[in-house]
Amino acid sequence: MKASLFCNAQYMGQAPSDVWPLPGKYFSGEEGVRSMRTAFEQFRCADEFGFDWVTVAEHHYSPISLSPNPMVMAGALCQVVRRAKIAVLGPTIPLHNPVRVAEELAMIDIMSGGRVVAGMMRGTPSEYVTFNINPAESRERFAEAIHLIKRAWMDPNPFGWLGRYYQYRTISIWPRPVQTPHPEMFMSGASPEAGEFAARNGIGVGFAFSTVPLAKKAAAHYRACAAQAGWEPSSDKVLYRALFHVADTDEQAFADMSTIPPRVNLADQNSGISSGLLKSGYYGVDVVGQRERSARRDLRERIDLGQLIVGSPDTVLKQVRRIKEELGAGIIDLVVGVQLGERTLRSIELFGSKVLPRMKEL
Amino acid sequence: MNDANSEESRVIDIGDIRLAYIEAGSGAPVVVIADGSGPHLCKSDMILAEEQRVISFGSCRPGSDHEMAASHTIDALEKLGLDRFDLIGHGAGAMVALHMARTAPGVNVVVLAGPRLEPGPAFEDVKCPALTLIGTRDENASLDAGRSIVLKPAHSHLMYVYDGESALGEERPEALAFIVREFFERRNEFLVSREIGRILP
Repeated sequence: MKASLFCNAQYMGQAPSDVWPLPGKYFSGEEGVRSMRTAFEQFRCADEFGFDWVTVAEHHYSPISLSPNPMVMAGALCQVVRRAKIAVLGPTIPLHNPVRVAEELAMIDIMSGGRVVAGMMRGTPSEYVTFNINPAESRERFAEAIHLIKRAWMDPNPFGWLGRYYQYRTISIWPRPVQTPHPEMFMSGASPEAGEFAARNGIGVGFAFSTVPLAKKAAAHYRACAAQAGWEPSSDKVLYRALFHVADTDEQAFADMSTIPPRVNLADQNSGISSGLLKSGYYGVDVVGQRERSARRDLRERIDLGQLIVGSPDTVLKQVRRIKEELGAGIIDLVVGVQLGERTLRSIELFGSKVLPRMKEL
Repeated sequence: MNDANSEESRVIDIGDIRLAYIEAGSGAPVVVIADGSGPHLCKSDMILAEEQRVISFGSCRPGSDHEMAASHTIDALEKLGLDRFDLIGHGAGAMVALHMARTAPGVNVVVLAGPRLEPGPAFEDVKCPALTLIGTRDENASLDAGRSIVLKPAHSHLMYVYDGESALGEERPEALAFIVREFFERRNEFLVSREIGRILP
């Protein structure tokens, strides 16, 4: 089993986390620089202590992340992280020009010597407001863009594209990915529609900020769809993302995490956006299940449901084992839930030195 | 003058051979080589007929090969007084259209839509701008053959039609008609977009 460290470059200054979009007046350049330096220090630490991947992602208009462009983060990480794979999980595909996405991921792949993992995300729903894209079109845009990106990576000759949402008269990207036929691809598998699409197209799935029971059900659906499509996903095709914190003792870890803020669903912080998204059909056939993932829960319940991985190395290993056993995940994407300075670095070090070596045998 | 919304079936004799063809619309002529042995106008052809005169022939009759079918069609067009025209070959009709593009000096441009191509050096002889359209769901697409004509990027182009199989003119008629019109009108300059990006004044 593999581990990745996901540090979303959370803003470390004082700013409300339950407002979206958050006014820029809360931003301090000094705190922004400090936040970004902290993120890079944690990524460097994860690389040093044996994490298999480091993860970056895309978020907008919010202090939860100072990474509106994960490609920029990944490009910088190529120079900092020397060994681990760089998982871009990922660009919010329907918001962007797919040719540009194909080019940038190929560029990061060569910059990193073939270490990029290509996440293809439909994104955080409220963020469709960011670039004024209709969320009702998100699945169709996503599907078309994925086909186009794969072809842009693989087709050796110039070609045009006559799509429903994208049209190009000629495409011939340079550079091309180092990895052949293309970098490993992941997408969210949280919704039934996404699981089916991923299975049909041989793409790995990730479950982010879900619960183990919900992810277990979704992983089973993905595997069933893959079986129908004639293949069997290995555990390396299933990623589970959770917040984590490791300390020398359970008591210390729980005490540290008692300061963690409740999970905030950005889409629900603005009533107009929230109701507009619901009406758009963004959540698909399983509206209840999709929204249940982000329901507010207390610390104990979040740990029990597998949203938080917290404790001493032994306790954390048990929690990771449960995720492996219940949903067959082969990759765990660990999110720095709260910035605690030296204690966060110690958490990464403890995981890398005391948990990860034992995880390899799971 | 033909009505854009109705097809008119006709025949023409070339020596002892009788060729059936159908026409719709008026304007600059477009010759369509249909996928089957008889003439047929698919949905995208009918959209083209709103602005152009569209004349369809079948691809190959029993006992005839592609070259022979191309030769008969060229003779028929000459008899109809059509010395310059745009050309589309759908499916199996693409092979006939290619042979016509090689030999008839009056072909302005050729479009191969969902082509069933057979590889061969003959494709290199096509002198006019050529656009090959292949559906992304077309598992039988003769891609290698399609690429074999894309030897001269300056005037040969390959374009994938998203979510299409082989009957592209029926599956995505608006898309097909749009790009074909662009290509007919602007030839190799179609590479440069002229769509208006301004949203509001």
